[in-house]
Amino acid sequence: MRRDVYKKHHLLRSAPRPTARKSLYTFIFISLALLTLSRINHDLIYSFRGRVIALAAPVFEIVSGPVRQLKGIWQNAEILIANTDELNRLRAENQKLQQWKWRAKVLEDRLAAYAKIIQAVERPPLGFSTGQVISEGRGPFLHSVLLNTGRKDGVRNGYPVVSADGLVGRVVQSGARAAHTLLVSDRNSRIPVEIGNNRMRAILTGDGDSTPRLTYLSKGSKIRVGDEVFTSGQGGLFPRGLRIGKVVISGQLYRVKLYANLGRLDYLSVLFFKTPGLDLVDDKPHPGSPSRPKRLEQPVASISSDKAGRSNNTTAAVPRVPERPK
Amino acid sequence: MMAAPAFSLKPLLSLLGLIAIAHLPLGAPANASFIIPSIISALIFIWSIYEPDNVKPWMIFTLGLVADVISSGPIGFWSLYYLSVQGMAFWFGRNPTNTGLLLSWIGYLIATVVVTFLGWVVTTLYTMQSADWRPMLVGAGMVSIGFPLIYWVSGVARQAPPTSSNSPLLDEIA
Repeated sequence: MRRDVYKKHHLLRSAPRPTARKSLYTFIFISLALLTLSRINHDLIYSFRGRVIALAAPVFEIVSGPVRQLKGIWQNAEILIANTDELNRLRAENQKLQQWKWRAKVLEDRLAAYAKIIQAVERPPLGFSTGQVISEGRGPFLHSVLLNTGRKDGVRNGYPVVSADGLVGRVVQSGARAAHTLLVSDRNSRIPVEIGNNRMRAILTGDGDSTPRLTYLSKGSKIRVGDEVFTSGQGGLFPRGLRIGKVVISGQLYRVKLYANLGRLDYLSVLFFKTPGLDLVDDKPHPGSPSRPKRLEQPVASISSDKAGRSNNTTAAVPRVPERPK
Repeated sequence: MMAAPAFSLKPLLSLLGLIAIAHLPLGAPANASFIIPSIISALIFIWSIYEPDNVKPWMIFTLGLVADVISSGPIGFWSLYYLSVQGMAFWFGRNPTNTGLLLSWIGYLIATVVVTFLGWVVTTLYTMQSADWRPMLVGAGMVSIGFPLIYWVSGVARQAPPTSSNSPLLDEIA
């Protein structure tokens, strides 16, 4: 009897009211208007987004905790399943790395000696702040992640973001405790790069694929599959020599297989790379717009971390390609 | 006497929960990035047909805005996308006999084709370059195949025992 009541109740659904349809059209119109404002990058949209991110970041930090733990368990299970093969591979890799370690040490000593002879100016160490990925941007427009490190930790818009494997992207919007990172695979990402030993220059262009394209290659470029790709430093937004990936060919296009696995990002470091070009992407506080990002008022080195999962240091273990004489 | 149906938060909370899950760092491959948003659109479709009073357009609009902000995408895209799904559901739900799994499934297939194409057009116009259709197609395709499961799960939530406060029918029987 009761079951029949449910069934009948289920079938006797109410039709949408005419007022609901009217408000639907109104909200569709508002959405279109917002989309247009978004397209012209209106201040209103910028400040609105900043406020919501500031509110949402702590919630995501809490919610993503169990997800990260589950991911960790899953990854451990995968390692356990592929245990033997993985161990053998790691042993072989370790042997190779031991040899490389020795060679690197010899080269490092030699480089230090040469630098002393020619009185080379040392590159200043980069400060950095490390945070965890608490949210991933999904949709047709952006490939981005939200990090739980922000302006209070010294992060500014435009700073490069790296994982232990290589360049991942750059900060596009930073709140007090969170920073949106645009990944290199995103359609809006353009990074000046150098390729291989010949130092051929190109632009790494994101197109939504996990292997970004190499564009604006100069005529007669001699690029081979497997050539290393790293930042050229042109334009001033990225330091020179950050590792990105290796050249692969897909169809008729040169693409880059990234060292960093963008599908499995966890801890990422924001490099405090300060250049004059940064002012172009990190706006000054806008009069009448309190939510515009405020400038960092204290030196980066003096800012300390107060949360687990976030750390500040003055020198970064940046995955760089060693400098070669031209 | 018939009591006014009580407002249910079930649709809103289920959709909000899914939007949160869609943006958690699950590490899904790029082509799978549209699966959870497609599940959300399927749920909006089902809730809008069966409980239109509990999924008001302003709620869908707000949920879309939340998704836009969290994903760092253009504000208004997901609102427009989800409202279009709701519009299709309202159009489909005008006829009270359009109910049951099979008809809902057909309705959703029509809606998903229209809205996915619309989403692709909006993306292309916004970026001024041909948008990648693969993730959209994968998401829409997989959720279209799995629609009966979503329908069944949402049905379990919908068929929670009605009380006299939210069921006009029980009032009538009483």
